[in-house]
Amino acid sequence: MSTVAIHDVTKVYDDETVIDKFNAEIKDGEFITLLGPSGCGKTTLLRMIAGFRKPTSGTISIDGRVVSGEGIFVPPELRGIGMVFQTYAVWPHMNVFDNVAYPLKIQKMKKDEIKVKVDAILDVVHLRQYEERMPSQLSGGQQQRVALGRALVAEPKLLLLDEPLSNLDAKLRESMRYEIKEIQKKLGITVIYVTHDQVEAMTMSDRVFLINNGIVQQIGTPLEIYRSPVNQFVANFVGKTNFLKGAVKNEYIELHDTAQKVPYTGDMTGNVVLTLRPENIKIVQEQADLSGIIQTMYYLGNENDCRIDLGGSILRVISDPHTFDNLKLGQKINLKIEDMIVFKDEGNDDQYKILT
Amino acid sequence: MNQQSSEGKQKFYFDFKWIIIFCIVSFLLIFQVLPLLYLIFRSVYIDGHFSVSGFKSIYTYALNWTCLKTTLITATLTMIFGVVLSFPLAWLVGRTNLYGKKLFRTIFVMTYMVPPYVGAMAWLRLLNPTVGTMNVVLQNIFHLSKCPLNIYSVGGIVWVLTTFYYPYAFITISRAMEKMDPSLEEASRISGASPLKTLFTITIPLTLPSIIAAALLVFVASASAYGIPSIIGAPGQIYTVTTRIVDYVQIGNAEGLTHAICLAVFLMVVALGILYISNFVVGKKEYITVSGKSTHPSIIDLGKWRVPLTILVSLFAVIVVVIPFWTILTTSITTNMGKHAFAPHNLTWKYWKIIFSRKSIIQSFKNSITMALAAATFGMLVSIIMAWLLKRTEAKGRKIPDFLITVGSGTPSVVIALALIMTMTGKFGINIYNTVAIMVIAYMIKYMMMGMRTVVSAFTQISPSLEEAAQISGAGWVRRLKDIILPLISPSVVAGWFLIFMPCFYELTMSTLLYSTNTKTLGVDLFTYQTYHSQQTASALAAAILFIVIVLDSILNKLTKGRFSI
Repeated sequence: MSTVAIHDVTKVYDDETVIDKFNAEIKDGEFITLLGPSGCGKTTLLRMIAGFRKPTSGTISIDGRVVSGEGIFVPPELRGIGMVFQTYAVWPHMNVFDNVAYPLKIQKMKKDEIKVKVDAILDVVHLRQYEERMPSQLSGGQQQRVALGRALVAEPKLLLLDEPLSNLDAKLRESMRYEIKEIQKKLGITVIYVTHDQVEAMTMSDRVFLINNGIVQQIGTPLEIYRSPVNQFVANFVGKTNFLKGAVKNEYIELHDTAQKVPYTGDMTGNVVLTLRPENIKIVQEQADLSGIIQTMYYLGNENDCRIDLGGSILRVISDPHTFDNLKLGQKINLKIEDMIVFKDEGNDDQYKILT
Repeated sequence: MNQQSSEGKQKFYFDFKWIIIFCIVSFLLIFQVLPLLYLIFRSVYIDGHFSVSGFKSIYTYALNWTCLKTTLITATLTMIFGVVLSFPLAWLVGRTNLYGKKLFRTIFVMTYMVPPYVGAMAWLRLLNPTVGTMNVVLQNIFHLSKCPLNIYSVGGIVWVLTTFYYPYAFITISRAMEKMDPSLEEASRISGASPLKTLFTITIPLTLPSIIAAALLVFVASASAYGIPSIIGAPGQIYTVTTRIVDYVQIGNAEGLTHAICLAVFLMVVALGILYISNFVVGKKEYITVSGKSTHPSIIDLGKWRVPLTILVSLFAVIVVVIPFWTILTTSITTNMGKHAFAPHNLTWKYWKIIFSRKSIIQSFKNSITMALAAATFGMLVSIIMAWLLKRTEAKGRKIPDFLITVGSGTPSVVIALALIMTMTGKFGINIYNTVAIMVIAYMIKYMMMGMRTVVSAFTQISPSLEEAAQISGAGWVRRLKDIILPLISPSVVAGWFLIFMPCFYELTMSTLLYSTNTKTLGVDLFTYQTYHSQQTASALAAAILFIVIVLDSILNKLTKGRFSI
């Protein structure tokens, strides 16, 4: 259990700056997620914390002790960290027990002590009955849990996970998410988790570091990131969004592409981007903020995912599944905005495009 | 954990590793780079001053010019025939429903793993212009006045070279066809093209880079060959560059040596130049067809051609593989070479008895085994460490040893031996002439590549995260090597060891130039008996060598569960 301090860490490959002055203070027992699209630098950062890569500049400290910095570099085998790799990296020539016991063997622990600890961890990851099996006889999910057990058995200060669930199918991913979180809560271990899946980030993290192109976009709890995104990239990456460009005029935002306007009481002026989450737009009977014609409806069972033609722009609205029965394609409807976020229009759309 | 001492320990491992690497790189520099550079130097520094007279004499001096022409002709023809034979064979065996594909694949690769000079010996017996067994059969079948074919000709050399070097092309083209994304051909079929049209418009253009690479490989192998041109060419005074070089060296005077050096440097530049082109230029294009998924290519139905083609291919297999091997066996038990092979009074075991009892032959056998063993073991040690350096570190210059080892394998054997003779006989302070050491070193330089290739391939297939997981679990460099790396690469290590051992065991070219009375090898013995004493004894020896090689190859196959064999 420990803290992690990352101070001004930069990584440059040839001419490319992959990580740009990353700063973070991670508290003891926190579950932190590094979230971002492929190529944003999150895995590079994780591997620098693990010690497989040296930062170009900056300091990394674990539990108050500098592991990477000016003139100091502690190699991975001496950092006391547990790590789960994306490909599990379960050794094919050792059975489950030997795989999990390996870190303890390195520490030259006594055989009976090893047995006790390994059995305990195998119970935690529900693999006790498979301890004699070889990895080739295990399923993906089981191999995943072997990797997890091995990472935890030496009671490390810090647990790193590099997209551990990306190779599993959807249902298994859901149950593993839950299991990993439960284990973390039970052991109280500090976790840094890397993923591009926002659902994982939202459900498991205490705090999320959202990264794009090597630069941290926002740090916050899942709630803060979702409800108060600091820029268009964050708004678009986590959750679904509609972006409508317009200009502030007389307490309204006049939309550029359609001849409609929306009441606005905020401070911004000039060109803005009105950001609306599909679930925050309600279809109502009476006159409201916006109106449009129903173009398409996708029935998903628990929701009705609609595309509404505002006369120039298409708006995505997610509404109650029962509206699917009540509404017809081509019908004119009114829309009430429950919650909105407004950003200044900087002119560059690239800001929120997810670059890979 | 005491931070101070742990980090101190870490430093110790770090230094130890680099000392080993330094030793290996020095070895390559001293015994490979230096000799070759010196050879190049001596080719332009003649009689105390720089001049190109040495190279000029390559085309002005009649002896040199003829052998050069002959080499170019034989190598080019072998290349053409080799590819023209290999492509259809590779296609038939790899992509159609020919009968007995697995068997054919094994048979066609067989000539790749046996000493080429064995083939030369066999065909001498078969196509001797007056009493060759096949010649006599053909004469009788077609009612000719005399034997139709003469092995003692350029054509004879080309024929035997083709039968022994076409497998290089066969293996290369087969591999490319297997790796090709089958959906590329399937798209053509769906669009209405027949299998034959697909072959010509899709398959061939897409595998063209590999075909070119295969052709160049055969060209270089034929141009660098010594055993076949020397056994077949000598009686008819037909010389190639390699045989001429050996001649010059054995004559021993200064002028001859200069000729030898210039020819050698020329051959080396040509060989390495072609291999560079082949790897670099052609290699890039191969990426287009390699698919990520390992799907099996679709099998083409030969329909009514199935049986005829199978018969044709079988005929080829019989002529190229079965008959020569059979001839070796029968020659070894024949008393009188001029008379009919299977007449009862003409059979004898005396030659087999000779090879098992004659002291000099047994000594040669011991020498061959010892030196091949040494070359394979040291070669594998070097390969493992250099492959790890290449694939698992970010060290600057990690590609250099790999490059040097590759160059070594592409350098003609004659050139390696000559370079070592020029430099390792006391000139630079090291004199290992007439020792076991010089021969083992020559073998290593030529054949280490086989070991490198298998181990590098193993490292490529084993994810680095397996090592990283061990590292994160606390294991240092030596521990990781012992627990994770070595167990996982051991099949490749075993395979590589055998792949180095076998060619070293029966090696001829370098042994001919470097041997002394105490270090004679089986290859040299065989050559001597064939050329000077008794073809039957030579055949018995050849049969014995063949037998050993086949046994070793099946052991290799079993040990590595069929994943590696030549």
